[in-house]
This record gives sequence, C-alpha cells and structure tokens, in this order.
Amino acid sequence: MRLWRVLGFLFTLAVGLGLGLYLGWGILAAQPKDMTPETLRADYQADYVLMVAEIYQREGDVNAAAQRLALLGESPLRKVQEAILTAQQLGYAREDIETLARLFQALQTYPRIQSTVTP
Amino acid sequence: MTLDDLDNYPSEEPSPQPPLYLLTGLVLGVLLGLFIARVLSPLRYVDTAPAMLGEPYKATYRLLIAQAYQSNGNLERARLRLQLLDGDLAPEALASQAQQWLAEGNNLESARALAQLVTDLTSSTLSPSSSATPASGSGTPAYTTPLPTLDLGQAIATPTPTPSPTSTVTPWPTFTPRPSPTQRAALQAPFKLVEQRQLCESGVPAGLLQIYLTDNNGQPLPGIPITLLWNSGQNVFYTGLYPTISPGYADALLDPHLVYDVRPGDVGETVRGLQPPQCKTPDGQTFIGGWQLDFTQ
Repeated sequence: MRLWRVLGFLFTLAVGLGLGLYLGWGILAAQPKDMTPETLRADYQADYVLMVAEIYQREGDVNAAAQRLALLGESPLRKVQEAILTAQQLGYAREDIETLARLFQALQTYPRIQSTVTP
Repeated sequence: MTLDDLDNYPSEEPSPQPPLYLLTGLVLGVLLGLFIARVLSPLRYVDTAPAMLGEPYKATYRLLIAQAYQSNGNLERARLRLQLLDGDLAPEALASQAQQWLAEGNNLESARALAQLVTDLTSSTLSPSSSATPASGSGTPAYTTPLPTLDLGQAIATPTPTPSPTSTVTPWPTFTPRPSPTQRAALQAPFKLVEQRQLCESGVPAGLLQIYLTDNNGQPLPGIPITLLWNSGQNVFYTGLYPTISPGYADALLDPHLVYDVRPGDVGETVRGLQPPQCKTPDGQTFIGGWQLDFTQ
C-alpha cells in the first residue's frame, strides 16, 4: 500500500512537472513580439548592418554608426565582420560588400564603442 | 471473538479520504515546472524577423530604412525592407511615425527623412515609372526576388540562450544598380489658393487645418512641404502622409491663440492671418472650428 502511494505521488509529480513546463514555456511565455534587434536572424542582421553602412557612407560619422550597431549587441566590429561573411554567403552585390568593408575599416580605427544605446 | 471474526465482521463503509498525496505531487510538480521554465531556463527567441521587434526598435528600424534610402536612393530596396518590418501596413506605419515626429519637432532631420520616403513611396505608387526603375541601363529591376520572410510562427523558440552561429540562412537577392533619387518636379510651380472654407461641422478637432494640393490637371500632389509661420516660430509638414484621404492632403492643428501664415510648396501663395474660426452650434453655443484650404498650381 505504501509503495503504491509513493508511486502515485511520483507519477503526479511528473505530470505536474510537465504541466508546469508547458505553462511556463508555452502558455505563459512571452509571445514572439517585442524582440530586440540582437535576436534577429543572421541575414536580417546583415541587412541591418548594411543599412548602417549605407548611412555611414553618406554621413561619415563612425560614432553614430557604432551606436546604431550597438543595438545588435556584442562588438559592433564583430557584427560587421559577421555581416560581411553572411553577405558573401548570400551573394550580395560587390558594391554592397564594399560598403560593409568600408564601415569595417572605419570601425577598426574607432577606439571605443559606447555600449549603452536605447532606441 | 477471534481476530478472524473481526475481519469478517461487517464493518461500516469507510469514509472515502481524498488522495491528498496525489494532489500534493501534482501541485509540487507544477510549481517545480514553472520554476524551471520561468527562472532556471526561461524561453528565449532567436532568429526572429524584423516584424517581431518591439515598437521602439521598429521606429529605429524605420528611421534606418529612411536614412539608408537617403544614402542609396534605392526605393525598391526601402520598400522591401519596410514590408519586412510592417507588412502591408508599412506605408501607414511610416506615415504615422513621420507625422508624429514632425509634430513633435524633436528631430526634424529624422522626421524629414521619413517624410521623404513616404512621399517617394506614394509618388512611385501613383506613377510606377517615376522612381522604381534603375537609373543605369541594365534594364533589370532592383530586386528580382523578395527578401527572406518569416512568419510569426516560424520563430524558433528555444530554452538555450546562445544563438547558433551556424543558423540556416535563406538566399538573398542580389542587389542591382541603384535608381536615381526621385525628383519632386512639382515643387517649382507656384500654388494659388482656390478655396478657403470654414470647418464648423461637429466632430472637427479644434483648430484643424486641412490642406489639399493639386497640380494644374487636378491631380493630388504628395510630398509638398507646407510652411506654417506664426509670430514666434514656424513648422513644416508634408502632403502625402495620409494617402488614404488623398495623396495631396496634409493637416495640422492650429493654436486658437495664434495667427498663422500658410504657404504651400517653395513658392506658393501665402495665406495670411489665419486663425481658427469661432463656430456656432444650432443652439447658439460657440466652439472652435477649423479651416480647409485648397490650392492648385
């Protein structure tokens, strides 16, 4: 009798655990909205970096470019590197890759990137 | 009486006890599961699409699109980027943000970038041949295939916090030659006032100024700046931000205590001394109405 009780307790514990996980990861979890740019897929991030590079090409303001890139998290320099790799994989036009490369070169000479940027 | 007799003795029906240990197990399990799911290993999303960004980030993204458009002049690219962000509502969302920023006047440069993009998008919709074609002689469209898209349900939800560096990527269309920036040809011809009408209908916001601009063929003109001057300042807003009303429509709210001069375009006729009118309801009550000004070239 005691064994059955223990087994019953463990069984309902397991059922409850599954239910709790389902609630926490499913029903009560944040919906896929209100995401931040750093969660974007690699190809979208590459396009984001390309936009920053295009703006930099006109403005020539590396500080502003670095602040825009900070929304993607990590090091802006690394993000541009990743974007160039993604762009090559996806067959971006040479002109766009060169635009990215110019931003990369500018960021290499940029000493310090401000990390706190709010949209 | 022996023990066997006791066992065989017809006892009373035992009162049914609730299996509390089962309920306890279930409750503990749920709590444990919630603790794991919410605290120890909360759900994180990776590989999301621009459409899933929070609204402040979407606003930033729209501004990036508009500023990048100022740099590259590629309207088709800007249009596709906007579509990734806001889907079919892209023009409205962009127009709304531009109008809001113009009204706030905090960052006029950014607001103008947005307004310019709205204008050019509207113009190209009205006359597809004006700006969406590449300037170089290749004859190929700027985009032959759409940008990668991702439905909401396709977001990959994972309890693992680190995004995979080798995530699968979808082929990207090749960017081809850039179109030249759209010309605002209508700016040069002067506008003249053809009608000025009081808006005293019920429901009209106090001080509403509505402006309709048309060319000499009667076609509405988007993207024309309207300059509003008063004794201590000035503001500029644009037609074309409400294409659902009319591409040549623009509006603003006037302060009833100020007197305004309104000038459409760069060289249009200036309407001077404009002040929100006092209107009367049928029962004699007064309220502040608005103005509608119609200009044509």
